[in-house]
Amino acid sequence: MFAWAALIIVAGLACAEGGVKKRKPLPYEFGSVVIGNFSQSAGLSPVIFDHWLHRSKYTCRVCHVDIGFGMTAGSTKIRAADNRKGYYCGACHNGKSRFDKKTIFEACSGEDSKKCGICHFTGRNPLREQDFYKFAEKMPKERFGNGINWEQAEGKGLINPIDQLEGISIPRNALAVQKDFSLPVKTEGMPEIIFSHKKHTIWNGCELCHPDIFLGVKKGATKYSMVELFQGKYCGVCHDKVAFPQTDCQRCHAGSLQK
Amino acid sequence: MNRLQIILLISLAVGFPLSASGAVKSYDSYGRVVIGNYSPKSGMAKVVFDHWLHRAQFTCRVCHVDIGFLMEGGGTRMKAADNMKGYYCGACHNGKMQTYEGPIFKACSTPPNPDDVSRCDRCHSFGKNVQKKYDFAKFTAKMPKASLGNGVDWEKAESSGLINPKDNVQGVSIIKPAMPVQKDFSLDTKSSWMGDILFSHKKHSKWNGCELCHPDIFLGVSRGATKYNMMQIYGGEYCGVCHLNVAFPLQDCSRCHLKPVK
Repeated sequence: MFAWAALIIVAGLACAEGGVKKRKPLPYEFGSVVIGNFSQSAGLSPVIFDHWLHRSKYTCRVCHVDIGFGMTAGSTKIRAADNRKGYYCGACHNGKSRFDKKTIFEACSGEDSKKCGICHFTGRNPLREQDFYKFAEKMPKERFGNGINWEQAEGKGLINPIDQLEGISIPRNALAVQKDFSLPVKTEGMPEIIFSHKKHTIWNGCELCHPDIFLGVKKGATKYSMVELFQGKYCGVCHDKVAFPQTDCQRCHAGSLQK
Repeated sequence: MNRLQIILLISLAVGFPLSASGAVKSYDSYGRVVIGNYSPKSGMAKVVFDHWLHRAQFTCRVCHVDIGFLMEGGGTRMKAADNMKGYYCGACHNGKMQTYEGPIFKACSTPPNPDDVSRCDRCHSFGKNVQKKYDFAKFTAKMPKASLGNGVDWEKAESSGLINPKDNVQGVSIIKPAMPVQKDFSLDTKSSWMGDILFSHKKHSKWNGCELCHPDIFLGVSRGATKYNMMQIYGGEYCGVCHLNVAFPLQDCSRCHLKPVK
């Protein structure tokens, strides 16, 4: 049941056509991705991946740049064999890497069938829900998405996402971060967008967004509209699916009024 | 089949299953939603939810954006457990939230306490003869009249201060700075004999903020970006998401088609 609901959410977000109201996911469901490219043909349930748990510990960059996960559900087409070789989930889930003094469980080893169900499980998982509530309780609140203001959580030091993985990330000298700037809007009466590179680079570095999502690195070089964003392009690659949804207008349209 | 017949057929096909009392709705049952995704399985009567009592006290936005109820009967698929955790009905119906009459009654507990049956019945009342706490006729007696829907002109009721719907709920809503409201504008109609539509953002955003309609229902935020027609609206899309079942019905043509035909 939940699997279908989640699939509908993901499918709904992928083809934003308008006309009807979409379901607002519950806080623990937001950012859930159902991955089932090959699971079912191997006799396993698809994987439900919860972004909230991972983003509370790692930056987006680690997984989506260094490890190389795609940004749409199912697009990475991960195989168990890849994980066993240390790619994708297996980059950390190898039974050796450690987080917070604990060993991270091994993904897809095929040795302990009980472990498969940790990820290959699409039913409602009350334990995971409980973990979410326990975590979210201490976090600054926000109206949409996970109900958590992740930006504030990081800014206040409540979470400290790791940006480098031993054996995977190769550290480079940090590039200078551009200053915040405003983006003019097209609709009369709409406040300008204040875009903060600083807030974005903490999670994404440069390479998550440039050049794939935003080809230009100069202000105004890439042209896009809200309709494209709502359809999952540009800002919409992250915002709506995992980062705070675009319905939270005022978080971007924070500038002075257009006259 | 001509266009009028198609429209009639569609409105019947859409209207009939949504209405608890048949194709013709009485004033008190307009906006009634029967929710029974899981109730019958657990031996409970389905829930009968009347919009009128809630919309007199809260904006649409509070429930459909902040709390996150879907816009079609049974679409939200909430469980008793969700309510008990403070989601959906349980966001307010938690036995704690105060109103001018004292705390709001608590929704759902498992297993239902035998002494509490009358509390369950307040919502799980489908097919039962339950004496409701608030009487529709008495409640709406002083409201400005309309010929369709609830027989109440909710827009006037709000603007004349007879009702003062709250736009936020403590512990649920996070208040953001208000966005500027776009000016009223007219939408051209396709039929020569039909007056143009005068659309008021101001009247709509009072109840809905921006987020109830954009981007889900109307993807574009600039005028003319979203294309739709009356057939889609009668099918429950666009304006029809609200103006078929809860907001004044589409049969009240001249409430939107305001401009005189040239």
